[in-house]
Amino acid sequence: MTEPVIEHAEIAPGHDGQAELFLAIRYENGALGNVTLNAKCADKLMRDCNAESVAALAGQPWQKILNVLK
Amino acid sequence: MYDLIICDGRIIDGSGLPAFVGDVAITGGIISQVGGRVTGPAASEIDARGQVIAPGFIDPHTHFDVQLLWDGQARPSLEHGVTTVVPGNCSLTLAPLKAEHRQRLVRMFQQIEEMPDAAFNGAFEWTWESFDGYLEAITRQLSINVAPLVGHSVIRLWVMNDDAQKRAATPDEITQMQDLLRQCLTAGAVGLSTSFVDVDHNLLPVPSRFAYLEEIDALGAVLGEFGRMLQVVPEFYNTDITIARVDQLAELSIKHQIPTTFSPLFDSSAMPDNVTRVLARVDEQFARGARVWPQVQTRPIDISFNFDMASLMFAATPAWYMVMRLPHDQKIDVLKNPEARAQLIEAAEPGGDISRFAELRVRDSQNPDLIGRRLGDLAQERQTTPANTMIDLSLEEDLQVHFLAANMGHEDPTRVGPIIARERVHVGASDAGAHIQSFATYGDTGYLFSEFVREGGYLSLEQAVKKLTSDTAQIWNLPNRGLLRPGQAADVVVFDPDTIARDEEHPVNDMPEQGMRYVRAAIGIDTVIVNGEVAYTHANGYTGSTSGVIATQPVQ
Amino acid sequence: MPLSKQREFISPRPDDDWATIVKRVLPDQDPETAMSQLKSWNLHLFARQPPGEFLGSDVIFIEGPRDGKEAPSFFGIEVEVS
Repeated sequence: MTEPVIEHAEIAPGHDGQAELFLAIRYENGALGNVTLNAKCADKLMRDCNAESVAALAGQPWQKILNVLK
Repeated sequence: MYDLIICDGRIIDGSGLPAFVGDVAITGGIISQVGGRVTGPAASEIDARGQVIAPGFIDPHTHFDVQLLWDGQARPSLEHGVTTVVPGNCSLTLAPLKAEHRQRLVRMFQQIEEMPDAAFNGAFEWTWESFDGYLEAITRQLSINVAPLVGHSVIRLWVMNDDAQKRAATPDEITQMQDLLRQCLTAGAVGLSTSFVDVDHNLLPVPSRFAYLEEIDALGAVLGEFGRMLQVVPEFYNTDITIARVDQLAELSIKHQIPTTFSPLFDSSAMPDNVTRVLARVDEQFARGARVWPQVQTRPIDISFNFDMASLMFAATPAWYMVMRLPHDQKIDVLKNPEARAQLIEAAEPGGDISRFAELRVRDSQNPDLIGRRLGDLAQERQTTPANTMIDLSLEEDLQVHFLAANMGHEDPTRVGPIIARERVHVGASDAGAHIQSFATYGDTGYLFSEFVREGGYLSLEQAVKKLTSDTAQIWNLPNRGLLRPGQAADVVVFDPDTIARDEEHPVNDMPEQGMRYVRAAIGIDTVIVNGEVAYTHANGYTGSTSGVIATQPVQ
Repeated sequence: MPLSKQREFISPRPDDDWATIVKRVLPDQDPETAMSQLKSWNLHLFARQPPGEFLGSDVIFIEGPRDGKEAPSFFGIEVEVS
């Protein structure tokens, strides 16, 4: 693996009661990190990745996340 | 002559020591005797046979700042046995606040509390700018004790005006903030709150997030002069960041000899090792002499959504998510199409299994009779399935009906129970008075007893009472509170240990101008006493007593 | 009790941007690669407003998540520390 990739994604409840997208990211050293996206960014990410469901985000490179957040 | 004797109850004094049977006597707002049979006349008596007599509960994370201006009882927290609340969390308070900043702050508050405009404009008169002026305004009618935090964001706003949400403070501005904080602490503030996550109505970071460490350190130094609390809201769902925040707080705690607390810390299937790792770090920092208290809420976390937005609630089900992403009118067309609808129903309720949506509730609707109802029940009445009901309700109101999915996080009692029972976990983070149109933030205390004492057995009754009383009073340095001992303030709750719980969440229209919010009533609470005066009884409700005080001052 | 090694982070200085931090914390690396790495470690700073700009109170990681050792467990299950 030469760059971080999305390991898995799941829906998580935000503190204010909104659903958020939790993304676990596998880094080059094998360790897991994560980032949480709001619904708008998550939707954009799924479109960018042509993902029909959150499960289909697995394996996508981390730059895809950066691109939708910028 | 005693003012009040509570007779023959099971006394749990808040220390964690075993319960014992006896009387509690109160004179002049102070506990005068605990245990044994109290002899001598009393102005009134309460028969507590079969019930627990405990110190009043203390809620360390609330947002009652506004409500206290027209409701000194902080309903419904008081009826749940809460006799002291800590408002002003998350960097936002109503003082110190210049008149020209009021509406700006109101919008920030509304972002967090979801209170209607009328709650801020018309329900009370803005008579203050200073912190002591605010305290004077709320203490005219307090039934409940208040230990108010002062918000870092408003201190910054006072000193820096518009630049508070733009840049670093200059050394002179930091000195002004220190002076202002000093005034607030002298007036009775229990500490300073700051936030690393909250946003205003434009979704821009609140002022406190623009502060560099030098500023927080300088304010920590002032807290050190008073031995007062620093409360922070850390980022959610990132264990490494939370640990970094623990480390920052630990440095401030050791350097300035202050207690610190962060809230919330919660358990989630998304990060199964989150709490374990954070608490391991907390233990390490406590061993160094720091005080960094993680606040853990007792209740699970809910999610709310409607069909108008592409809610992530459907993101795991492609057929539904695809429809939810359509433009509004197209979405309605698809939902009305029998063929498309049949596919949606099959995806959500395969083989007729209706369990997926049955427990969802209507959170908000034009039809008040629907609010709070389970989709499973509504489906039965309509002789259809929950998924069909959800679609029908949405179509009936142009996709504006909101639904609530309960227990979506922090929901596994076999994990949350052991967390709450840990010595260095501070039970709190209720958020009472906030998110009022999304879910009920009241009754977490009753839930602690019903779920984690009676049902799960993770704590004894004595341990649970200690968590809510003397632990909290000591963590927050609230003098003479949290214990049933002679000389302590007579904050007392009498409850039935076999039934104490929170009731079902339901909507009420008791905000100014009939504004709606969700609440929960208490179960098993018999009597609540604040500074010696009965403030609530199950039999007669709220008494309208006005014995609440600012709880940071020693009892006279 | 010594503190265990956790993921290293810094707080920003008022004039910091991504380039100054790369220069300060990853001086020996190719700047472009270092910039990319730094951003990959700090996606949380992009997942909020204003995306990618530093706020005074931010936590900026200067290394990736850590691999490997076991954390104490009180659930009776072993968990991995990332």
